[in-house]
Amino acid sequence: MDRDDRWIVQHFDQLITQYGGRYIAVVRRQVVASGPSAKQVEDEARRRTGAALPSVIRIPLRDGVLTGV
Amino acid sequence: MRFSYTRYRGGQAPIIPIQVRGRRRWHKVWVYVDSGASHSILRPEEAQRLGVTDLLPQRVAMRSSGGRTLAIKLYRLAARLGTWRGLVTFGVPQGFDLDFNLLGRQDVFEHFIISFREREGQLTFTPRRRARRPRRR
Repeated sequence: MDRDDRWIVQHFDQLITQYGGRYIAVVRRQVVASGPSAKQVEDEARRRTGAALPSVIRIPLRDGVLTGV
Repeated sequence: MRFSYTRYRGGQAPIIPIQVRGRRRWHKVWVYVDSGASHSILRPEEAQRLGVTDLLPQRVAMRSSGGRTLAIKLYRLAARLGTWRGLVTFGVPQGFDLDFNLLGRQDVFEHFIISFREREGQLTFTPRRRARRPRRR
């Protein structure tokens, strides 16, 4: 895990409060893009920061139900 | 490789980043490591991000659940986990969704000894050594 990944893990609860139900992109320990479309969020993060591999993750809703297969 | 669990809903969950090769480039993808899932699953939105939905699926699997028939398109994609690289079959569900991408057993678990250390909140992947071929005489 790199610094951005560790930052996401450490701040996940805060991210749920702020971005629940949306995708975010994290570069240099900052949320640089967010929105409902994963592709648009990653494209925007690359365009804004030039990062080759932004950390893009969907933040779950606080009251959502964790579902698997 | 050691990953910290992600704090989630007052608890913690084994949600980790891996890398997956999309249509044009590598992408970082966060997955819930699920030892109860036979296959890995990409959310449809994530499959679109990777450009995978433009590709022809390897096949379409049908599953029955709760009286419904569910279709899952299967794609075989290159993936990286630490220094390990391999091909992993990812299912992309059609008409239903999940909260997280899943990293299931097929194509992945056989290459590692995986420890879910719930108390410490850590997940470790220890690569298995490849079996040596017997020497020719």
